[in-house]
Amino acid sequence: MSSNKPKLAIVYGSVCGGCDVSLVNVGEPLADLLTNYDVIYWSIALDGKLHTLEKLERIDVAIYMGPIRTELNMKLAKLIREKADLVVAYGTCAVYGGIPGLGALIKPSTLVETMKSTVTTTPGSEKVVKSMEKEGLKIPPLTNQCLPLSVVVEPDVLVPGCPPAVENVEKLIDILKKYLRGEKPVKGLMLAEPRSLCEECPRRPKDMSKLVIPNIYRLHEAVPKEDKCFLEQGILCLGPITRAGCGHRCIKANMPCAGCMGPVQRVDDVGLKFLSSLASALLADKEKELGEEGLAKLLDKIVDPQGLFYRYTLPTSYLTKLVLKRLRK
Amino acid sequence: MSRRTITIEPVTRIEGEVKVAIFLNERGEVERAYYQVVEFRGYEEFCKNRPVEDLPRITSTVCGVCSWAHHLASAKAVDALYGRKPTETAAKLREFGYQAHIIDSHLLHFVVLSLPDFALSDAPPELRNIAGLLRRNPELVKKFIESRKILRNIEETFGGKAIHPAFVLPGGVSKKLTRDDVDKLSKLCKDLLDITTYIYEYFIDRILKSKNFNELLYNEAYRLRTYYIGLVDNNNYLNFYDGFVRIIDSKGREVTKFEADKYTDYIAEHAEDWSYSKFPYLKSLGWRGFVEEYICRAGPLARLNVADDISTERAREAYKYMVETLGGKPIHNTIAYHWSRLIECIHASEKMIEFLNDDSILREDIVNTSGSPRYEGVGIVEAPRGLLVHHYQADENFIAREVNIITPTAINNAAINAELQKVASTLIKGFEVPEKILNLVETSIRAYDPCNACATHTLSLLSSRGGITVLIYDNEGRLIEKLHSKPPRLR
Repeated sequence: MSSNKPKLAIVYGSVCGGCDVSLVNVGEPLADLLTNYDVIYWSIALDGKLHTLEKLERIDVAIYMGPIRTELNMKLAKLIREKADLVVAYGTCAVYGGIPGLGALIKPSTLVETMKSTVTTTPGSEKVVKSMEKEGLKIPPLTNQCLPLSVVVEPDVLVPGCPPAVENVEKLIDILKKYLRGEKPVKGLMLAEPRSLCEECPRRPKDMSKLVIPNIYRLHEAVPKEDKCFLEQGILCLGPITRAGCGHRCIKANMPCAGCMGPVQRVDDVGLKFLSSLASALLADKEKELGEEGLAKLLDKIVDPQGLFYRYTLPTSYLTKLVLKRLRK
Repeated sequence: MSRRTITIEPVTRIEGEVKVAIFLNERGEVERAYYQVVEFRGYEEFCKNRPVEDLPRITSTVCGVCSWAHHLASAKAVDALYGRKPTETAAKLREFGYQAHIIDSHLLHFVVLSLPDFALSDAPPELRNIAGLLRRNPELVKKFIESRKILRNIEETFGGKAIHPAFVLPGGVSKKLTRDDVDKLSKLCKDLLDITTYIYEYFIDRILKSKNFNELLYNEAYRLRTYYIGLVDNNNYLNFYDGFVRIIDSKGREVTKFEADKYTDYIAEHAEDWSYSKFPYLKSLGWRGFVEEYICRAGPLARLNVADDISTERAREAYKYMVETLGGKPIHNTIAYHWSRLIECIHASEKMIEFLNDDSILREDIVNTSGSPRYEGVGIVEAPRGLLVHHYQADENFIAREVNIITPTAINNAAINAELQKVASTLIKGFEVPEKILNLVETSIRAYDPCNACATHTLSLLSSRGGITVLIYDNEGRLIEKLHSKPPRLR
């Protein structure tokens, strides 16, 4: 822990802890990292202090996990951008908003009210503390939006994945090792493939352009076969519009891709892109027979487009931007 | 001298955002201490209107440290909602994979979050951590690192991803286990049992015998005579995945035993305006505040208190030894939570080897697609931290309309508060409070391995865990002094 080593800080947004565990899971490379860097802040593992972070003029590397949900998250995001030479957006939440981002279009007060009105909550049970203790017991209020780090500041390295796959964490650690020798990665480096998951999927049909989706089934309506393209089975899989680089682990577990690596390069809105590719493949051979009405009825089987297309990216979607714009008017 | 408040903000080496506020009277005695969950994530609201079959993958992200527990509690709620009892093969595969997760969470907590308090109690705060352990005890840390790879590998074999798995379907699992998988798992599970045994023995030889650990283990302040809640199987043995919920009183007498879908008859939740986590309590007793004898605890120690026995050999021996050493059940010593965790790690390792010797895990009937929907379902598992409830109601199209989640950290919320009060009152005398004492206060909290992302299933509000900060307020609530540092305030 000598002070002449480069300083590393691991800072949180609204984390679930999975990113921390994924980092611990790499094993030896992490031990190397702990030896070669002076880790000044990582509160799940160390008793490091925020004032240390605030006092420092320069941090060499800062890793940010979780989405930004509070002004404090925001302040920390800006603080690390200001002080750190290399900022890493670690995990889907920091890159795209992640699953907590599903709350992006819900009023914070509604989130709290629901929590305090579930079936087991005793009605009217909420106790209010006496005024003397009130100040010392303040809990921080919610902010209105849930944003990924990447929208607020410009990260140097982005590591998508919920949580990042071990291969990509190892790549990140390699980058941090090279950094020790003075090598800096290109700005905005994305530790994922630019191409789609389909391109490396073992179930990829020979000719993707001839892909036919026979129907749309939910997971209680069809048991996925272990060797066939999910879309060809009528099970919606986000592979065509999701970045590869995750080691297609969910596919290996015989589950369709849910999109946690975020959209492929040059796709701005996953939902729009997916719908357009879906429309062309859906019942391609029966289009005439069904007509527009039939097709629309089929698309109705996508019961939760928001949760399907934007499960990990809602805060960065056009949808959210539009709604928020309208709300501001 | 006026009254003062000591704030530990945030508590470190736990999961999630927590603050401790201790109010001192004019004589510097502890009047009241609060454990506040200041994190909020909102899952119960934004899970509404989602297809219920998607909830196991969505709710697993309530917590990345116990994602499997949420994935499986959710799966069981979804099974019940569709009226599809998983096939025997599916239930076994779920339970098999889940054992690895119990070990994953327990070892992470023991080695990284807690052990520094016992093995490095003499070290300065900046070395009281995993890096310090690496220097002091490289062999143990090496074993721990080895276990991460093994666990990751096992979890990926079942769930695709080790964290936030993709493994369950309504009525079963998505993927069969192959002969190749079994061959690979055989080696991994054997190595894992070696490691959990090693870490258990390290604990018995080095930690349990240490003066510092003993002082805490037998310290009256770190002891609560409470009710306990946990799952047991048909024989009243320890079970993480399935069974009946059993509640015992502080004398060890069975109060009740019920099936998952009856939980609302027994558990209710109380709310306070100073925490984003609620306070579940036993309905039969009613909410009586933070009074030891009306509180119910969950988690590893609770499980070992409610169970009559453990089915596997090595774990059973270890269990007997703990019970004998501590003078019989129920064990009320909070620090024994750590001990219980390590016993459970051995049991889970042994259990996996048992599954490997059971050829029925290779069968192909991994999903049951028939059954009459009930549109409502409750799923209960033992998460690493204790009893976890997922309860969903859906419309006729299987779209979630109501979601209720009760997490073990919430169940322990009242106990943590009650114990905090005891520990703080015992240790804090006067206005000068050294860091070491505050860490001993935190040590009591850490024993519960609280996971506060879980406790509120919510949007994190205060996300800088800025080490120890002590703020002193006067009796008007004005900040008059800060001992360490003050994290930036929100608005």
